[in-house]
Amino acid sequence: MGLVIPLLSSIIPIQAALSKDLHASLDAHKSKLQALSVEVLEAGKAAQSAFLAFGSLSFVYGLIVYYYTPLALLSLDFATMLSIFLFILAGLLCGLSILAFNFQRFLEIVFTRMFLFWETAAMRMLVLKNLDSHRSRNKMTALIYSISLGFIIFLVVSSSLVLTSTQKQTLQESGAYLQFSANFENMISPQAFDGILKEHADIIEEFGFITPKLSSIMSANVAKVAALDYSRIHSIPVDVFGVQPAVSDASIDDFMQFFANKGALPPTE
Amino acid sequence: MGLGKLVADTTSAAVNDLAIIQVFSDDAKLRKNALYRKRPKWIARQSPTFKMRDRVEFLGSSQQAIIMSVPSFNDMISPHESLNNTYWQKLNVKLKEPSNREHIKRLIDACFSDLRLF
Repeated sequence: MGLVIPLLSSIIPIQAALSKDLHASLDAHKSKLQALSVEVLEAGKAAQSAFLAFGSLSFVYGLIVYYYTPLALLSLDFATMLSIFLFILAGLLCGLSILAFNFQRFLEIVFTRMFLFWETAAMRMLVLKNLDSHRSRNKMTALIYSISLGFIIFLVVSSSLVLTSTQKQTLQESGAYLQFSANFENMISPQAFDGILKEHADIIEEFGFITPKLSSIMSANVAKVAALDYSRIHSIPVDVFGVQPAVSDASIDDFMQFFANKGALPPTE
Repeated sequence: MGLGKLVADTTSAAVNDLAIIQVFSDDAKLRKNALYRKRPKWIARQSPTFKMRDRVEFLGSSQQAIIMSVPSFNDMISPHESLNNTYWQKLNVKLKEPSNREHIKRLIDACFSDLRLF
């Protein structure tokens, strides 16, 4: 993408420069504006290369999407799937930009009537004719503008998505909007906090203390902890924590999703 | 006791049924390896604060959590461990107005002024 876009963007100015003689190309004083021209050709003489190139590109694009999307879904290759979605999104962006060309004339008329409503009909017609003569240049500006805007909107949406998911993940890891934690076990003391919590009881709804994991407590002399099935064949390493009954009330409920719970009490009660 | 679905799936644990927890000692002179029988009261797909998942995660991620009451936890440290000697590492606080920055600042400032840093 980083190579193709600069390449394509430099081809048109180079072509424009080469289409004129050297003197005309270097003359900065004269306007290079060309009136709108319509070329009528015989069917046999019309240049087919542009159509062929666009057709081939569309064919390859469709083939990639049609073949790789089911392949990525079947093989659960999420990296390829995301790349294809990005590819589809880029195609959608280009397609919408091209579609916007069809509304260009309509929008020119609407905006001319909206912003020059006090002018005479002749003046508005003059402006519209003027816009007609600038159409090729306006088309290029509209294309660049719509693609740039599309990419900016895409970046804003994806960055906000990443920020939201990161925020949710961080919030779930802490589990509460306000959490005091220490890097070492036994550094949070109820005796020290009780006075503070009591003093600010008017703003506190609930609070609960959590122990460090069992294997990190020196006096426990525990190397590791595992959960086993009855046969003691299947096991999974776990971290064991002790919690006060009020911890679940002091945590964010939205992140609690039960698979099975037969009790009516809060989870840590 | 509460645990995550991944742990329950691996160990075939069910609510109100007995589950086995094995504790491995890091010093045979001070403690022996032990098996504990615990009864899960709930199984969660996801939980705040603690890592409880319902599917296998990427390698290198931290371990799944099991949570239990403080007396049970202290009993696993040692049968003679007093509740007064419980180790604490985190404190979750729910404010009446969780998004009120003034209340958050008030509480944090109180901690800074009242607590002594080691």
